[in-house]
Amino acid sequence: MPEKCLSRLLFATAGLFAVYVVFLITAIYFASSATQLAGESRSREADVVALETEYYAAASALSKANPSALGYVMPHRVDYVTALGSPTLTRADR
Amino acid sequence: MRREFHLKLRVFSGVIVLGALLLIVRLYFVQILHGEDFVIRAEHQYQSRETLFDRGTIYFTRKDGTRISAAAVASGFRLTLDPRQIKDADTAYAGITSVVELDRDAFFTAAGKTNDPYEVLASRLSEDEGEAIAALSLPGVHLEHERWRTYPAEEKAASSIGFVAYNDENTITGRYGLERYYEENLVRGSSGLFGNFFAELFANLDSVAGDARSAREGDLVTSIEPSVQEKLDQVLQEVQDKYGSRMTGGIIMIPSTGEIIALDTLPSFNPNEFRTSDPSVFGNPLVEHVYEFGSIMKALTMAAGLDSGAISRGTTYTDTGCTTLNKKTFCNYDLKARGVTGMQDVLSHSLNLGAAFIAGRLGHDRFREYFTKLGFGTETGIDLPSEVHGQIANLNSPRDVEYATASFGQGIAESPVEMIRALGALANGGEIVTPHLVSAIRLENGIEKKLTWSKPERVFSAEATEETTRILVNVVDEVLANGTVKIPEMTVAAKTGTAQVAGPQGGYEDGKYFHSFFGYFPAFKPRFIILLYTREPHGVQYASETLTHPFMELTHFLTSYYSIPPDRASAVIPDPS
Repeated sequence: MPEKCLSRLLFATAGLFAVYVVFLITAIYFASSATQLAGESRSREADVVALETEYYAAASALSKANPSALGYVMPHRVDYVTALGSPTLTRADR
Repeated sequence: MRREFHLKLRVFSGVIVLGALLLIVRLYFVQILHGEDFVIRAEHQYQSRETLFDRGTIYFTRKDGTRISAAAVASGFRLTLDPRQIKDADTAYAGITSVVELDRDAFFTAAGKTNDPYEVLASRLSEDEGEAIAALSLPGVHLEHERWRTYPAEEKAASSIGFVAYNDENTITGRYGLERYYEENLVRGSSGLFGNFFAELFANLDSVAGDARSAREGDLVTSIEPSVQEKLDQVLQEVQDKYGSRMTGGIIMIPSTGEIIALDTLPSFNPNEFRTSDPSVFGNPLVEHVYEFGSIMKALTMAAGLDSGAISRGTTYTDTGCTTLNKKTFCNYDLKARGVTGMQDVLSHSLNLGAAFIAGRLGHDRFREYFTKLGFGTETGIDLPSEVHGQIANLNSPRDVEYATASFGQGIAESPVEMIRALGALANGGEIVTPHLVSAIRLENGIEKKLTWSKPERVFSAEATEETTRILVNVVDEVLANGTVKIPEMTVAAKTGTAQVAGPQGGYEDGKYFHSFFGYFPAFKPRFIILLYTREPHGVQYASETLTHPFMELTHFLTSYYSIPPDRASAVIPDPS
């Protein structure tokens, strides 16, 4: 009886140990992947920041550009119309 | 049976002993033979923990809702040298300089320190540069990951964004602007940066378990619109350059919500290079300084008079050009007496005596009550550090002259943000709101927490502000630049202000002026309110000369950029809806 019990306990221990090892490997694998992905994510964020810096510089240059120098011309005539019933129209023209 | 049991027991014991022996042998290799290497590697990991910092991003928000960083964390490499491991310094130098520039003398001086295991050659290398150097596999040349705060928007709204720097405790913290105000939200641990999973896991057990930090740490989403900010900066720079002003500033706000979409002062600085900048420009005059704003205050005096019933649109008074109260004489800007004058002319011609007349009709108590309700003398609660409140001590005086001068914006001083909050009441149906920059905090778990700001507080009736607005629209249509800046399709309400500047010895200084300008549009359903000011411009006396065209340029830009439909036109078509 004790021998049988010991054998069962040994098998159970071995089985639990194997499960533990599998869980440990899985945890390490996913955690390592998460860490690696976090690092890559940071790198990509840095790339985005570099692009954003370029964007600001381009937007600034564009904002300061003289449209006439770029070949754009003012329209000869501009007409505006206002939709009837606009609540602001009656107030403004009172 | 018993023998078989003992045999199994011995085998089991043998396996355990064998395992223990293997562990001991492994420990011998780790601790005795390769101990020094592991110590160095561990130290490197510890160093990373100290220097690789993380911090929340501060975003600008474009008009379509997309976000762009105003402050972020850049990552790259620090290039270091272990002179003990250098085999051929010339080859190492040639290899490194094929990728990045490096001072030859500095390199060979560092390489010559053969007793020093750690010399920093260069910092903030890009990812590409770091990887290119790593690919050369140069002995003794090492690369460490490095992260640092960067401000892609550079000078834009710099004094409001602020920057991070080391404090007295040698810790990187926000020192100015939003960086400082929202330090608790922006600060982060150095998670996700280790190469070693176990170091990562055990170093961040507290965050794994979860704590209150996760409910507040995140990125800031501001209402600042980058293109509008760019335009405002451009306009302010033109004023600053043209008139050589001591300072020029501006705020553009949505009057119904208090969201600020652009703000800045010049001279400014680049927070990426704050170490080499003039520290005197690090503060934010929009919240930290107070000024006597002059005649733009008359619009508020007018609204108070109309709201209280002390005056009506048809009220008149006899303008004598100058008057004396409590033995102090004050005059209209041109010293002219206009005789019987209406309320429209008080704002159209910016008459000091007209404003003083309204203040007199209001009386001390009502005048003080209105100006207190407008928030003068109290902080606005804007989300920027070191805010000061205005100085309205004169309104506790029993002397009439103090109320008269306050009615046209002299003798009391306000911060620009305090001023735009009060003026915002005219553009918001009589209610003041809390100006603010941050609309939401994006938590690290992805949830976006909308910030709520205090409810609007009513100061004037909607009728009184509408009447005041009508007067201000006439100012733009008929008087401002002789009516040449009128926009036929859009109602714009605006007023100029020119104030004398108080000197350090008391009294006002000759030839020094503070110019201010505010306006909102479309006047009867405003989308934006703009406040501009320039301090001590040269060669000009009146704000109408310096700030009218900058204001109109911003108005045209915003109208076009936000496709604001015209609110008045000759042609009328039926509403398709």
